[in-house]
Order: sequence, then C-alpha cells, then structure tokens
Amino acid sequence: MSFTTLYRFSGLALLIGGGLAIAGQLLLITADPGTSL
Amino acid sequence: MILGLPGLYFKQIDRAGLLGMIGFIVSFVGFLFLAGIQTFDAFVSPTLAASAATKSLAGTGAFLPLLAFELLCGLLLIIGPLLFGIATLRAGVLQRWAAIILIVGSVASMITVALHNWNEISGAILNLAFACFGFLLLSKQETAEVVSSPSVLAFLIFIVGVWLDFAQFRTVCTVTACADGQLNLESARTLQLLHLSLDAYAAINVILLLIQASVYYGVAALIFRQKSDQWIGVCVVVCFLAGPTNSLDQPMAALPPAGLAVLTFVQYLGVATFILTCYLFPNGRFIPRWTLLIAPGALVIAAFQAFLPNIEWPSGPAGLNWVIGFTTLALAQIYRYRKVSNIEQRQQTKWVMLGITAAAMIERRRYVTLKRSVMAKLFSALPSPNACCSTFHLYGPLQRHLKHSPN
Repeated sequence: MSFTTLYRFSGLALLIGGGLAIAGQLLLITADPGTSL
Repeated sequence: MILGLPGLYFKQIDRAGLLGMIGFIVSFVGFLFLAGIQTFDAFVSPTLAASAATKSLAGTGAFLPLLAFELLCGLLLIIGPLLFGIATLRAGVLQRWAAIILIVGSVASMITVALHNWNEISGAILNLAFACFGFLLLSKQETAEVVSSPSVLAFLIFIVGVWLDFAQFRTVCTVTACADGQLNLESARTLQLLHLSLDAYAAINVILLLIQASVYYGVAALIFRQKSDQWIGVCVVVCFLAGPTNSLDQPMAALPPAGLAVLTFVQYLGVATFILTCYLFPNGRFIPRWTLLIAPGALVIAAFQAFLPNIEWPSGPAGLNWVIGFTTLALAQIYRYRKVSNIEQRQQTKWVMLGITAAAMIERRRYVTLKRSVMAKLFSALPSPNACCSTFHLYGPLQRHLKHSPN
C-alpha cells in the first residue's frame, strides 16, 4: 500500500467518522435544548 | 475515526516531533477507550435498563472502575488532541486553521470539564477538526486553502442555525406572523391529538434539515474530489456548502448583529459563487468575453441585495435587472454550446440543464422542500386531513391516522 493510498483512506475515515460523530452530537444537542456553550 | 488517525500522523511524521508522537498515541488510545465505552452504552446499557432488577446498573456511573475508565478516556481525549494540535501547528505540513480548531475544541472541552458543565458542543468542535483534517488529506493543498475558510464558516453557522431552528420549532407561536412550519395554538392541539410531542415535531424538522444538508455537503465533497484543481469546481463547492444556510433565515433572526452579519456573508458567498458558476460553466472561462463585464455587475447587485436588504428598489429597474441577468446568461450559454464547447462539454451542459429542469419540476410539485412545504402543508392542512394527504406521500402511518382521526 502506497502512502498516497494510506492518506486517502485516512482522509476518508476521518471525514466520514467526524461527520457522523458531529451528526450524532447535533442530535444529542437538539434532544437537550438546555445545552449551553 | 481511529482508522484515520495513523495516516494523519504519518503525513507529518518528519516534522511533528516528540510532541506529535505523544499527541497521536494519547489520542489513539483515547479513541480506543471511547469505542469501548460507546459499545457499553449502545448494547449493554439498554439491556440492563430493560429489566427492573438491573435498571440501576445501566449507567457507567454504577460501576466505579467503569467510571474511572470513562474519566481517563475523557482526559486522554482532551490532552491528546491538544498536543497533536500544537504539534500540527508547529509542523506546518497541513493547514494551520484545522490545527487551531483542534486546539480550540480541546481547550473548550477542558473548560467545560473544569466547570462541571460538559456538553456535546466542545466535542463537536473536536470532531469538526478531525473531519477537516480528513478533508485536507483528501484534497489538493492550493484549492483547499481557498475553500477551507468559507466551508468552516458555513458549517459553523449551519450548526448554530440548526440549534436555533430546533428551539423555534418546539415553541408554539402565539402571534399572527409565525415562522414557516412553526406551530400555532390550533396545530399544536392537533399535534397533541396525534400523540406527538413538540420535541418530536422539532426533531423531525431538524432531521429533515440535516438530511437535506448532508446531500449538499455530499455533492460538494464529490465535486471537490473530482474538480478541486479548477476554479469552477471551487465555486460550485462553496455554493453547495453555503446552500443549507439559506433555509435558516427565520430562526437565525434571533442572532446578535455580528452573527447575522456572518450569516449574510455566508449566504452572499453562496449567491456569488452561484452567479460565477453560471457564467464560467463548463470550461471555467468567461465566454463570450463581454460576460466579464456583466458578471462583476451581477455580483455588486447581489451584494446590495444581501447586505442592504432594507433598500426599496423601484419595481421597474428591479425587474429589468432580473430580465437582463437571465437573458445574458442564456445567450452566453447558447453561444458557448454552439460555437465553443466540445462534445464532452456539450454533454455536461445537457446534464446540467436536465438537472435544473428536474429540480424545477420537483419544486413545482413541492416534493423536494420537505421542511418548508411538506411539513408546513401537513400542519396547515390538519383540519382537513384529505386535503393534506392528497399531497403528502412520505408519512404513511401519519396519513392513515389523519384520515381516521376526527376533525
């Protein structure tokens, strides 16, 4: 496996993982409107 | 996310130094621990909670070792990203703004933990940073720098908008001028008859909004992946990233002036890049050359409309503006198609025209704007279920309930 493939795989994993995690956290935030900064 | 961390570290291994290595290892172990905790939360806790005898054991707080494990995990996930962010900032291999987001998320997490007020927002900032790193690993450096700032700005303002949108939907409107889809007293009572809570109604709206936005972001990511080396690709990407903020005007009205200014700026970016895309498509050049004079004019007019919305334009010049805009655009595209475009570009033009026509037809039939039209139509038509159900195809069980419920 070349480094380019590794970077692409990592990029995809971080993008998808991060996106899904944010979506989940948004749902948790919306479920608890008392959330404050 | 765990799978992506090694590649992120290897990308900058020569420059990240000892700090980067420690940050990587601590973050990696933290995410591994988190996976264990989330597995417990997802599969073990519900089973324990289902039985009255074991209900008290359902939370991680019930076991002292597990609680200690959770605290250690939280500590690792604050310190690791902080060290990794600092190392990334110093290494300068990847864009520094992503490292700054990571550091901000870590510090925010630290503050919320210190104040005993942990919430998901600081966690979301950390995840945003990792998603941005993923985006940077996939993209080419030069265009990534151009797209990065507006995309992060658009995404942050969207998150704030979703939060305000939820708050607006779960509030019953008691005045005559209600926001789109917001419940009034009558529709709130009907909602109650359907055994739906305000929170459920607001959550449905927010989920639809997130689905709509994920389509926009998905298309933007796809185009960026394929065309990030061309400026027209960058325009399309920014346009799609800014798109989801357009439906958040009403809830965002509650923002302070600085927040509204950021929203207006992001929305203007969307409009401006849309105008540029129309003039540059498909080969990224202004053809015929006279469009180079028209496009800046269109951008200036759009800026007036965005930033000075209270100015009342006389109807004549305002209408003429639209007519001239669309006519020149159509003439320019026809000229391109007939005189300049090659076979491949003509095919691209046909696909885009097909897409625009389909979108216009869908919009006409009110299928596409789930939140603004379908949901609003449902609740405005509730007193007359049959009228509602003739146009409402997506909520089968709800339709059946409406048909059989008394007025």
